[in-house]
Amino acid sequence: MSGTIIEIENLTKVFYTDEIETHALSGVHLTIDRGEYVAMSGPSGCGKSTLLSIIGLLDTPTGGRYTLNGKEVANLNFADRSRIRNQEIGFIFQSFNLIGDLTVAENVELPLTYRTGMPSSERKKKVQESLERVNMAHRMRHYPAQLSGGQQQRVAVARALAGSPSILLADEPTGNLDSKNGEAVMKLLQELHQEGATICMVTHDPRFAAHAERQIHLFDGKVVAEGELNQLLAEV
Amino acid sequence: MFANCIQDFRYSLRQFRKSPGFAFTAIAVLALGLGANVAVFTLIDGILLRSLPYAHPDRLVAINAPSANGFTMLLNYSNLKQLSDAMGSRTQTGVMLDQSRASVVGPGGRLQVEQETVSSDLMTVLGAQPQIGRSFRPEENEPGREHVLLIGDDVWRRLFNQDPQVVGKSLLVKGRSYTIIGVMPKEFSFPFGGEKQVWSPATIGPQARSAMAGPKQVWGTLFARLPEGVTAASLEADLNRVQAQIAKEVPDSEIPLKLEVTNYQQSLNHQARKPLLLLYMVVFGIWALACLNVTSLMLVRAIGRSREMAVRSALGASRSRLLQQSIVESLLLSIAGSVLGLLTGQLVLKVLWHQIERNLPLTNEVHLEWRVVVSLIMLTCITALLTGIVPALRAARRSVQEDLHGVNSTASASHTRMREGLVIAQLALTLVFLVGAGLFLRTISALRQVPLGFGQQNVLTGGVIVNPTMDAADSDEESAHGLNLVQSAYLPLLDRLRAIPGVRVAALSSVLPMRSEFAVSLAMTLDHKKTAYAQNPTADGRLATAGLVDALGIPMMRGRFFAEEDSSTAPVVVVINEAFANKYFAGQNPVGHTVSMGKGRFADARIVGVIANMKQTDVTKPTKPEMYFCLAQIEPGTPLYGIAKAFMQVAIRASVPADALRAQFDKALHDVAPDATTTDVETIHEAVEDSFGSQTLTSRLLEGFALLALVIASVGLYGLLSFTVAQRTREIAVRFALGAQQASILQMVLRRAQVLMVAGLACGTTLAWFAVKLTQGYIYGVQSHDAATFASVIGVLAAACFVAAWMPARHAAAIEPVVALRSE
Ligand SMILES: Nc1ncnc2c1ncn2[C@@H]1O[C@H](COP(=O)(O)OP(=O)(O)O)[C@@H](O)[C@H]1O
Ligand SMILES: [Mg+2]
Repeated sequence: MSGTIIEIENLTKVFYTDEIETHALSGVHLTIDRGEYVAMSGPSGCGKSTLLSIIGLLDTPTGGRYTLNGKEVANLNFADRSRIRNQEIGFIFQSFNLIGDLTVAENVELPLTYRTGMPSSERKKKVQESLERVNMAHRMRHYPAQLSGGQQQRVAVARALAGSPSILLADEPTGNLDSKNGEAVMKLLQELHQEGATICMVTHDPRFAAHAERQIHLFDGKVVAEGELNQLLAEV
Repeated sequence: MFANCIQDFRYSLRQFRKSPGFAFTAIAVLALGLGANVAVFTLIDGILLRSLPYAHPDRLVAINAPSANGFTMLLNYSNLKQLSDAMGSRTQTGVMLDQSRASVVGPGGRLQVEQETVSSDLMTVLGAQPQIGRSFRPEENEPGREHVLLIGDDVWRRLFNQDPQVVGKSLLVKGRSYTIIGVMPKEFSFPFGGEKQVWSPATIGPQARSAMAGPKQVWGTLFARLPEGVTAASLEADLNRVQAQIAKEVPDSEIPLKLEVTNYQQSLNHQARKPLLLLYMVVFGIWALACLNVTSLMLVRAIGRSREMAVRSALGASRSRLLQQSIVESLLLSIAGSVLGLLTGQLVLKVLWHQIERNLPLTNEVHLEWRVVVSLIMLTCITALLTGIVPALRAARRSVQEDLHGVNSTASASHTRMREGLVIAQLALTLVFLVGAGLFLRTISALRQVPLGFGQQNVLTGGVIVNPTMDAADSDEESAHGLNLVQSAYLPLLDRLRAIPGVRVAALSSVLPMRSEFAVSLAMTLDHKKTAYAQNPTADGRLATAGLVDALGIPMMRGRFFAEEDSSTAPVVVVINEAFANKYFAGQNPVGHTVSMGKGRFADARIVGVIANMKQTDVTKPTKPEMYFCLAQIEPGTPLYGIAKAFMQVAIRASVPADALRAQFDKALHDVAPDATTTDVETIHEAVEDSFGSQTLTSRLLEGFALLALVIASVGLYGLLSFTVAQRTREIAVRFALGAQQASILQMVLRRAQVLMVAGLACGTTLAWFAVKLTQGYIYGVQSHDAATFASVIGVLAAACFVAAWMPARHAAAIEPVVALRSE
């Protein structure tokens, strides 16, 4: 089961605020194949999150082409993007973003409830499986506030996995964790990758970037080669 | 501490400038809540709480004889004198005998005044001294010495331009010359609340002094000042004992047996007590609603600023300091709200003044007083405390740690629950108001649908007091002079009215429907059948001219109404109404039967017609038997001439809008009787609307308040949902990131609103179920637990909730999913 999941060509993103244009992305080319583990790094403000949000269909590009699983998705409407996001994408956020009034199980079930026509029993089964996968099944009925940061992030990973997405997108998943908990989450992602998951992770920690099999460097809205990056950084 | 306060004030002002929407909403809501209170409290102060301008007003009592049907009967002077003697010399007493209007002329022009004829000792009982001149002397009730006059301050100003030399001047009142002996102080009035009053001693001759029956009696009301140690109740017991004794000594007497001693002030305002307290409860509810609403607004801000608070307390600000800041802020809002509320309240009174005046006593004395202002200041402080403390305590209780870290971004559940509770309470209160307003709307429409029995189109009505140049007591003298008001004033007036272009019919009657009336109960015999006095047929006695049925559009059931040939020389004719016919001529044709009243021509009056029933003073009451006499056949010495002389009313049906005729009516009247005065010139439609009286007033007020409550509660719900949505922006973005559709987010917010609404409606319905008990006795034509009213009110509130929830729901659905990725 191999092939290209994500194909991005000449992607641009311009933000207009108070008559100021911010060119967050200026001509990004990127391909991610099924089963790949890609780490994205670069200095703060270079466009990592922006790129990830476009890949995750949270935002639309200003220009360029984006093909997800062979389907052109750059200019879909809100409803279609939501549907595809729900089926193809699993998000892991820096600040976990679990919903405080929902239990662990309900949080994990949430993306499945947005999927039409999935029976409750099947949802329960998937919730159970993904929580077991991240070793959090015993905390099913707890609320996020009753968990440590590391545990919360593991639940978030389970939530991302529950819908069996084509790709997991993670934006600095260890940013809010201490190093020990950070390591544990990294280890979990690595295991998932070994089991076949496709992952695209943003991090500026070189140690964690090294976990990935491919590293991409972003600089000023463009993908640059590693050597080139060092040179550019030296110039600054 | 003081410097702190100043600093807090400045800080608060800066905060308001930063969020004008919040400040505006809070101030507006408080202004409405406080303004409603000011309006009602102004009324309560003026009507119930004001102390009367007499010495020790709490000891001043009125002695009344209540009749079985709710009226107050007058006692004859002889009777009053005996009662007063029985009270002993420690108790001062005085009598008020007659009250009439007169049109008088002085250096300041023409003025309509109210003449009170009193016993000479009355001013002493009241403890009142003139500001200029002297009071009455004891002998000034004797015939021939009674032509002295005390005038009110306003009369002095307007009629005499405040002439300091007024004492000794004379004034012509109803054709008699009076010598002015003094000017009463500015705040004085008696009966209390009257305007443009003048007082003169009643003529009490030796016969009047002792007459217990017959035509020489004079009538009055007794006032007394309770001495130390005597209560109204003990005096009442004593007087009732004495009265029983008196009644025993006068054979065959009609003197009332039951006497009632009430504090004078209470006797004036007791019928206003219940409606005013009901109103006060309503505005108290509005105020509570406003407080709930502003508290929840403040809570939003407290939470929004909790991080700032946390920083401040981390920097060492004490909890009480933070509390102070919050209270200063709510105090500023409350002060602004109360100033605006004061204006709103006065405006409300102005707008509703017509209804208020018609339905509540003592309204002349209703002004904005210092007591109202003081109570407003107190209420403002309470408001500030209530709306400031809760949010401050809540904000202070939040953990500083948590807020500084800001990791846990979901709102604290207890905050949300509290705010939801506030919104539910607001919705519940609103429902109660809406139910009240609904019931009164139904009442008014039920009242309007009652068939009146007369037409309302283009009919102008007005009372006429001719103010004959002779006094009422001397009817003998009058007939000797050959003066007959019917011939000299009323019939000429009718001719002039009929000549006005556009007038189709003009008629006179002593009583017109829905207008204040002199009820005169007549006892008579029918067809000369002798019965015991107590079993004699009785009816409301009325006078009318030809044309009355046409002017009012009353159908004739049988026979005819009065015509021009029913003159003073023709046989006496009467017309009865259906109620009379049904009661005394069941199953017969009354036309042709005879009615006897007294002797002479009136012993053989013939019934010539039966008119359909029409509503009398109250559309909710059944029509009583009426008997009409023809005005043209009335002259001095005949029954009912006294009524004709006192008061007649005009009904004019026109082919033009009735309103346009007021000026011509006035002119025609003054052409035939220059001294005549008019009362309540209004269209019959206005008279009908006014007769709904307190129901209209309550309905208007409740409708206004209910609408207000609806707006406040909707704003409350809107505010809560907007705030929740703003607070949950990130959560909603995460839901989008996980694949939520816009419709499901829309639904999520609306479902929250629905839960609050259902809870609010449930609480409100329960509350209203009990609260409607208060409306009993006020509503008509609708049950207090009327299902249709409850259902439609619930529908209205639900619709308002939906509208209030829709916008925040739309906002929620428009949140960008990408927000989920942003780190805070
Ligand atoms: N919503 C937005 N409006 C305007 N500018 C934005 C917005 N989001 C990001 N940017 C700008 O785009 C650039 C890239 O931002 P981002 O992708 O968040 O960088 P990174 O995640 O690499 O730190 C930055 O200069 C940022 O200021
Ligand atoms: Mg970023």
